[in-house]
Amino acid sequence: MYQILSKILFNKEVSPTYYNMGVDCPEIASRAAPGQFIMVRVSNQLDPLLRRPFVIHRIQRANTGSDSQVEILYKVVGKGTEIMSEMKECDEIDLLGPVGNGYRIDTNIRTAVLVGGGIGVAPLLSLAERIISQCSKLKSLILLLGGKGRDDVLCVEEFERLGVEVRVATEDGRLGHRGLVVDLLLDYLESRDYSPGSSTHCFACGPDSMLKEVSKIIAEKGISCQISLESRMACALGACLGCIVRTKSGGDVYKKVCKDGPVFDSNEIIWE
Amino acid sequence: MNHEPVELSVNIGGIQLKNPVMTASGTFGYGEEYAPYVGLDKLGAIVVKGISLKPRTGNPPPRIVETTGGMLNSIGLENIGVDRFIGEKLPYLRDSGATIIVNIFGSSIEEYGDVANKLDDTHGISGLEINISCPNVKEGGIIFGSDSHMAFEVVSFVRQSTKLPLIVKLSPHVTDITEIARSVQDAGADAISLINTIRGMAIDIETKTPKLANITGGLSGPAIKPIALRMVWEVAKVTEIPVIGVGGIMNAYDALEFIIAGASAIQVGTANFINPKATVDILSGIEKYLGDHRIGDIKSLIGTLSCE
Ligand SMILES: Cc1cc2nc3c(=O)[nH]c(=O)nc-3n(C[C@H](O)[C@H](O)[C@H](O)COP(=O)(O)OP(=O)(O)OC[C@H]3O[C@@H](n4cnc5c(N)ncnc54)[C@H](O)[C@@H]3O)c2cc1C
Ligand SMILES: Cc1cc2nc3c(=O)[nH]c(=O)nc-3n(C[C@H](O)[C@H](O)[C@H](O)COP(=O)(O)O)c2cc1C
Repeated sequence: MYQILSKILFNKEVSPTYYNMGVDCPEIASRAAPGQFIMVRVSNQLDPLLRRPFVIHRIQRANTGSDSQVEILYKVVGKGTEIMSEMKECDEIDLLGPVGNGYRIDTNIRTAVLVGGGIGVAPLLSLAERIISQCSKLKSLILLLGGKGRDDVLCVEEFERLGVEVRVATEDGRLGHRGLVVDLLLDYLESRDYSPGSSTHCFACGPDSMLKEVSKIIAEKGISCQISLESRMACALGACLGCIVRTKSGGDVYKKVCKDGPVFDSNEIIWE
Repeated sequence: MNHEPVELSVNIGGIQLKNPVMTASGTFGYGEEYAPYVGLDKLGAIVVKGISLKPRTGNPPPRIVETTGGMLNSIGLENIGVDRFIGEKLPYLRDSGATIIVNIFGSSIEEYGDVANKLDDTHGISGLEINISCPNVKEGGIIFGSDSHMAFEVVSFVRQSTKLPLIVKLSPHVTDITEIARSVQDAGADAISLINTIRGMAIDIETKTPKLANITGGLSGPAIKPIALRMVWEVAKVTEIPVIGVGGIMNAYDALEFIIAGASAIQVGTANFINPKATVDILSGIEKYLGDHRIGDIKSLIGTLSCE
């Protein structure tokens, strides 16, 4: 893990209140895996105080051929993200990362189903890229993406450019299916596209309510599912014990989202 | 500009520290979490996360919420227990060459004594810090720290259970901090550290629910520094034993204020979360200040506050 001052390469609004920031940091980029995150110090003042966690959205290669850029995709929800949204190209930003355990990618995957809710799409783009480059037996890669309205459905083009089949649901019905992303998952599992078996893997990121539902549905089908959790955290080094989640492994003990996660097997979590 | 080397070592109730910069319990894990950023042997001492006789799972989440210039935590003293600490965490720390201080707590006076006793026989520990001030657990912690008779009892009992130097960590939740400071000194404490966190809360106005599952939590960070500083000043004036300043220290200037107020050493807590190298940055800032002000020995700065 590295703590470094990095240069902002771009910081653009991709949809109302959603931004994509690219930073130049070979130290993090060359070691980052999909699902890991970065702790961003949004200001060197004392308020906001703590670093903010953001998952790695994309790992990019510079002309030199080695990974050197990292992108984060974020939604403005409060003080910290507001300040970030005002940052400009060439500004410096203090990063700590890469943090945590990313997605484990089984190279024998034939079918991968990615499920994203709102900003939860963020880690799935680098994951899709990694799956495509590492899984030679891959037959089908599907993204089920949900959002409140059409502005909350991000990155569809980027996924399609990779050849991912994208199915969309919005709560207001302005784009794709009217309803929730879990409806899309249920439909998919009933359809002929779905092939049961150990070569089908599911990966999900989104609000807890969605992850809980996805975990339940997946458990009934008995397929492997990795989910990416969020939690309030301070240090991200496993020291403060702030970001814990209840898990089944090891009796009734808490695990740390920052160090043991943020990616967990869905059947490991005890939902509150 | 090159300076003459400055003397940074201090003695805290029998514990010889290379320099006055320590870590605050619960904010630096068991040391190894920060080893990629900080040479553990470079610090005055590492104070580890609070240890109890048996492991504790702590409070349910959410356990952390940021507030203006500070944070509330309700970890609830989650820890792996003294046996696993000795078996799994201590060897690494010992090999790192760090000066190790173990923060301990219990839910009864006897339990404090039992933990102290187990650590007494353990090689590599320089001292104990007794937490009588955690605001996040019902039993133990703060009830011993808010009553000077209880504080006297628990410290006397631990005193008899160990030969290790004893630091007693005080809670700000008292009417008169000097009264409790005197009683722990009388009970045999070798040093006093203060302050622990201050109880506070935060509310989500949309859901009308507390932001912490535990409802209340302990406030730490820059927001509490003026309170900590005032209490350190008051205690240092009336006690003979060394005082360690804790609370909202984010940089060397903050640390120097505590030293001038009377602290012989300082602990860095919440700052580690924001800057994992905070301790070493503070140390070099102190060194620079001493050089710039031609102060050859940190000890001559302690308690130099002039109130005329
Ligand atoms: C591992 C992880 C990865 C994340 N990845 C992303 C991402 O890729 N894109 C994105 O937009 N958001 C992501 N989040 C959520 C993001 O960290 C918060 O939205 C952000 O911290 C809010 O900061 P703020 O100052 O704008 O809001 P405020 O509400 O002012 O924040 C106050 C405090 O609450 C914390 N906080 C607020 N919301 C959350 C939350 N949902 N989860 C954890 N802490 C929170 C903040 O860190 C801060 O300490 C992630 C969270 C975690 C834990
Ligand atoms: C997350 C967290 C955990 C803590 N755990 C302990 C603990 O186990 N024992 C203890 O004596 N103090 C504990 N403290 C209190 C700190 O050691 C320190 O007294 C307090 O945070 C004030 O210092 P600061 O403002 O520099 O953080 C904890 C503080 C925080 C923020």
